[in-house]
Amino acid sequence: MSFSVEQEEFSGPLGLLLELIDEQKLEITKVSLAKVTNEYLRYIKEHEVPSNELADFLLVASRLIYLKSRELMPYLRIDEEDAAAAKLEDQLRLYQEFIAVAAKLEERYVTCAMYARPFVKQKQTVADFLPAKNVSAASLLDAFKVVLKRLEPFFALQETSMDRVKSVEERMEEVRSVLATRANIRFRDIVANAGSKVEIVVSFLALLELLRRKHIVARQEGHGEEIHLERIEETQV
Amino acid sequence: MNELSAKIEALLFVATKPMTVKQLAQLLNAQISEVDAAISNLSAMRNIDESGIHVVVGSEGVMLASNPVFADVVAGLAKEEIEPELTRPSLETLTIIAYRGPMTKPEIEAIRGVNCALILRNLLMRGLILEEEDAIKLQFVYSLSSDALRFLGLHSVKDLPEYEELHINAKVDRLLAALSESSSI
Repeated sequence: MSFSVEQEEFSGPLGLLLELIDEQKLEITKVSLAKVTNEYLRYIKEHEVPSNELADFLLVASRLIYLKSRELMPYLRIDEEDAAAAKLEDQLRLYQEFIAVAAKLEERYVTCAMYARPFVKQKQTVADFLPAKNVSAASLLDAFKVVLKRLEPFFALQETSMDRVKSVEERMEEVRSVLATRANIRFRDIVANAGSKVEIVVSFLALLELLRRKHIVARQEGHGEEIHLERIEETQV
Repeated sequence: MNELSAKIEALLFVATKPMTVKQLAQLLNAQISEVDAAISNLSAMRNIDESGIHVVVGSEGVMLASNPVFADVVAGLAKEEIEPELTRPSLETLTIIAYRGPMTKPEIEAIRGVNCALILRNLLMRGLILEEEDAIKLQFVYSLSSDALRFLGLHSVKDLPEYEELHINAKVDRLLAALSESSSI
């Protein structure tokens, strides 16, 4: 069986349904929808449905399957699904109306076009070089210096962030080398010689990173308690 | 033709692009309601078979264009190339927007039963529809562009076949109402 849909651009699940119902010269009813269920399913099985439309095709498929199952087993009724099925019927009728007028519009498109005058652009005057009177080599230099000065905070920011990354890396190495000789260590010992709050933070970040990379395990009995670090043996990983 | 209509015609002739009622009212120092009436008057005078120039009223404003009956005569001279190809999904989407616009993407999809994102982008790129942010719906709403009206040979969306039936359609309203209910849950 071949469908006329094949010759045309995909028009979505409703377009396909309409084609199938038209083909069998049926009216849009719940019964006719149930009747074309098999053809619909075969179509989406045999044709490559665009992936962005697949969900929409499957949604309609699920409603069709429900309609068909209800025809086979009339005692099986789910109110919610009934509403959805009725909606599909309505939706399809409505869609059919739009398709009908779309065909009329297609006939008019281009063949009945109304042409407008092209927008006339203002004549472009030739741009002269008219530097302002206060432009001199010195003023350009000043302006450039101002620009450089404005950029300073940006560079400063970059340097400090580079700095910190380096420290975390270094700290990780330190913790690892300590743990290479000792089986475990307390976090308190690691930060014992910390000169600043930032250093403690960096140490903690290093600890988190080591945990993430599964180089160490950390234990803490409770909130605010001692943190014990242990290295993970290579064989354990 | 009354004086205000004639002035509007002169402005539109020079503007060569759609002008909003507001712009016209400002330029002519007239009330919006007066300009509206004058545009209706001008449309009634011009939009007849015996007139070479017709008036198009779209969502972008009012503009002058050639009589749709002379499409093939003017097409040879016109600098404007109209891409004739409209795929079936594009045509359907354009039709729905023409009759029911301005409307949101979910509303269009409720009628077509399928995702329309790509088609909408395509129609936007071709200038056939307009995208505007709706302050109440907090979403983009789509409507037919003045160019699309011209390409279809329509003086306004009210010229669409069976416009009243489909524009104010209880079934569409029900479908879209169900949509807003389900999205508010």
